[in-house]
Amino acid sequence: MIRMTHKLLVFLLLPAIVWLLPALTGTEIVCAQNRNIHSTGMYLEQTFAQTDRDYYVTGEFLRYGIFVFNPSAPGENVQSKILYISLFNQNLYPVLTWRSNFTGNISAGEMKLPDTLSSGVYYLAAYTSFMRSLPLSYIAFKPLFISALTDDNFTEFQVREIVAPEAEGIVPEAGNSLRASEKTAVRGTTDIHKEASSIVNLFTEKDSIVTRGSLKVRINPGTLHPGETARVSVRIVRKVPFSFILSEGTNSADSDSSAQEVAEIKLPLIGEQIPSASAARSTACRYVTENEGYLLSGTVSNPVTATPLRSKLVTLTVPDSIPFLDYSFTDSSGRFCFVLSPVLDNRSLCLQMLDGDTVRENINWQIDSKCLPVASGKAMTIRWNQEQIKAWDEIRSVGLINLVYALDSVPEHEKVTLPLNRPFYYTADRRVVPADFSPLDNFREVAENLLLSVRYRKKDENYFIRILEPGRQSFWPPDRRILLNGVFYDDLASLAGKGSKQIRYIDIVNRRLLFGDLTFNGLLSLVTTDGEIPPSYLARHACTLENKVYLPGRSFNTSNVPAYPLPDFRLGLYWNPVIRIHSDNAEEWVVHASDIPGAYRIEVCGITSSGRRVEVFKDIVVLENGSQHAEK
Amino acid sequence: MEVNMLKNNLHSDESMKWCRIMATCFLICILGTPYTSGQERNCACSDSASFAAAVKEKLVAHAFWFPYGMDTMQYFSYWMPGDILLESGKVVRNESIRYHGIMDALLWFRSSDHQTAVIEKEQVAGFNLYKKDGSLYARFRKMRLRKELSSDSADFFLQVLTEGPVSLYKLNRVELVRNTGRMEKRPRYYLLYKDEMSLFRPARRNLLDRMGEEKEQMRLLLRRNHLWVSQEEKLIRALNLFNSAVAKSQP
Repeated sequence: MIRMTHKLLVFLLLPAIVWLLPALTGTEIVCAQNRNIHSTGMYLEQTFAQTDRDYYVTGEFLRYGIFVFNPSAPGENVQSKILYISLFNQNLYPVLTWRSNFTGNISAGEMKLPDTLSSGVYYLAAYTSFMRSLPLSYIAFKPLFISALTDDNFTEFQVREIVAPEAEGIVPEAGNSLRASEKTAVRGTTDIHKEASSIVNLFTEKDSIVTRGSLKVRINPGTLHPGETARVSVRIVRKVPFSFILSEGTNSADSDSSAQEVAEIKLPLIGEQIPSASAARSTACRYVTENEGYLLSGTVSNPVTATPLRSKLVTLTVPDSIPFLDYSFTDSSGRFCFVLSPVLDNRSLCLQMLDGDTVRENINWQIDSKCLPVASGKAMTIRWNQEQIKAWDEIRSVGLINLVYALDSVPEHEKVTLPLNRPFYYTADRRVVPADFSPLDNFREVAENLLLSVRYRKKDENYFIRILEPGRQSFWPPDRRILLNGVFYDDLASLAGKGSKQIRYIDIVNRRLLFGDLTFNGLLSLVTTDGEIPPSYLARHACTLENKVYLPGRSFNTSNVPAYPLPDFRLGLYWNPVIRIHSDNAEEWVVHASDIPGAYRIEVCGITSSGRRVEVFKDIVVLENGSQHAEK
Repeated sequence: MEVNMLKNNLHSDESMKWCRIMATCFLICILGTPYTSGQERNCACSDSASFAAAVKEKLVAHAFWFPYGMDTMQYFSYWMPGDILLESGKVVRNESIRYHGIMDALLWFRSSDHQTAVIEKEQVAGFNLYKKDGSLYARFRKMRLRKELSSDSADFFLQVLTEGPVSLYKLNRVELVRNTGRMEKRPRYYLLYKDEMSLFRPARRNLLDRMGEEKEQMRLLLRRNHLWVSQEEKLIRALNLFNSAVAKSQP
């Protein structure tokens, strides 16, 4: 009997001890980029977003400033270098997503709102790839109201609670979803610390100005500690009888609410779900930090059998006159991974699979998405009251006037690329420019007369090339791959028609080339004058994608004052996404009022290097020139 | 009575045995849990499978054909583990490398297929060679200079002997002796002082001439320490002493 008891004790106690031990010994470890970090000093990332306004009309520019910081160490730089910004519509579907490189914890820019957006509440979400592993409360969700110019009878809209999708994200265990009071407690541990006293002080020389008048605004350091820096964004916007805030007190149970009496429209708070111990374990290092560059990863599989293609060579090339090469071997699940350097920003990329001396065709490419997985929680309907409808009509009218008449000084999203400095093989043994010689009609003639160390032959209806090996004075084995305008190309028959007129130059590497783990027995790189690769070939033999990156190339400190005597219908008088306030200096600038009288608000929001949150507001009135009363 | 005692003894022995088993299991749990839990957590990374390989910089090299035979004189050292500092600012660590004195080239032994190759000089900014115990054996840096009787400047791998206000570099040149086929080491030293780099023949007079205003300070230093600067070790020691004296004198 005693033996049985002992056995039972062993079998029952052991699993319990194993399960409890991490908690008892305090060895709760989570992993970020293959590093074990103790829970006390866990590496985290959080974003904080501000926009130049809260309301927009389609076709206008949305200007934003995003602060990215580590809530455990706000003064330090974050590891991630890539920021994703998504605009979610009221159904929580991303309608616009762009990517940006950032340094120094701040990303500022602007994006033109497409005409295709319908009216409603939108959410601007800013996140890094690593933050997708964290609860949604770390991600900045900025509610915005966007109206389409054509939606005349828009009187009500729907908002939804944003929650993490259960299937992909953090799965709450039974009894683990939190009540509102618990949410606050949890948010307090992750959110930046707010203070009642003013960290910075906001001054204006007067409280009211006339239209087209000017006003001096100054920010002084308040309770900033010596050496502490506050990074703030400043905006001056016209007050409207509605504003959107994410609030916990929203009564969304009845799924219907009216905004008749309230000017502040409370939107449901983001669903806060705290990972259980096991869920945290499985999700904590789901996405690594992109500290080296953008991570392009995906899976390759057979399109017929859907089986992953294991241990295959996937190459990354760029259609360009200067060849670029990177490669990755697929793992057991067919996954590949590339870290893209900034020189590949805003370039077309070409993924191919090399199989022996050919480029494999018909492969199922699946590229990993960087979208933020969110799901829709409880929904509620909000109706405008008469005052709000009137205000909104005015905003839309002003938006329309500005779109038609205002000087559109902001350029469209420019495609900025950095030049590739040198080919991946650095120096070719020989470069032949056919235009320097007598005209030759086809590639065979070019090869025989100009490329003395290359043989271009046809055997058994297949073309191949052989390159002279310099050390042994013999030819390398036949190969069917060349680089055509920087991309691997094995349809050598189609080259036959290319003569002196079509070919710009040919680089020949005779020596055996070692590139990382790869070996090339000589290499031929052909650059044509038109720089084109047959689209039908690319469709069969490659996966092409655009590596679009938003590169803000100018300062966003703007008042956008138009040149008089043009009418000035600005609703936002000032916007500066980044102002640094040190403990021993102040910032001062002049603001010019527009032609629209009314009540305006100066908003200063940001964080300090010690993680304190800055929020200072001040109301000013713009009086109509000549009149004594402001039109509210 | 004896039977009962025997039974009791047996019983207590079994209890002890179970206790021991439990204690052993408990210890295994304590020692094993952090490791196993760490493993569990690592495997959840969806991107980490080929992440390490993707981050690693790719070396570009051309096959080496041993054009100078197998004479070890042509090399600076045996194959040694080393770090290669790239022009891009990144570092490729722990590769088998050696320096070739005749070609002034960095050779790379690719362990995956045992190929020997010459790394593209344009890609490399410098390299460090380490001994088996992990200590630094030699440090090389790529520098642009013009050799005597040469019309244009070129990049050379120079061994860093000392660096500071006065820096000393060595070009580990190996030359083929004409008509004999023999190889001979003919090192060249370059002294960098006040942003001026020039060929330097290790000699007391040459050193003092190069020191300009600090000539007397160097003379005193050599006299006090009885340093014979025509020998490489003593020259390095003299320059190190001078550099540390300069560093001390500066606030």
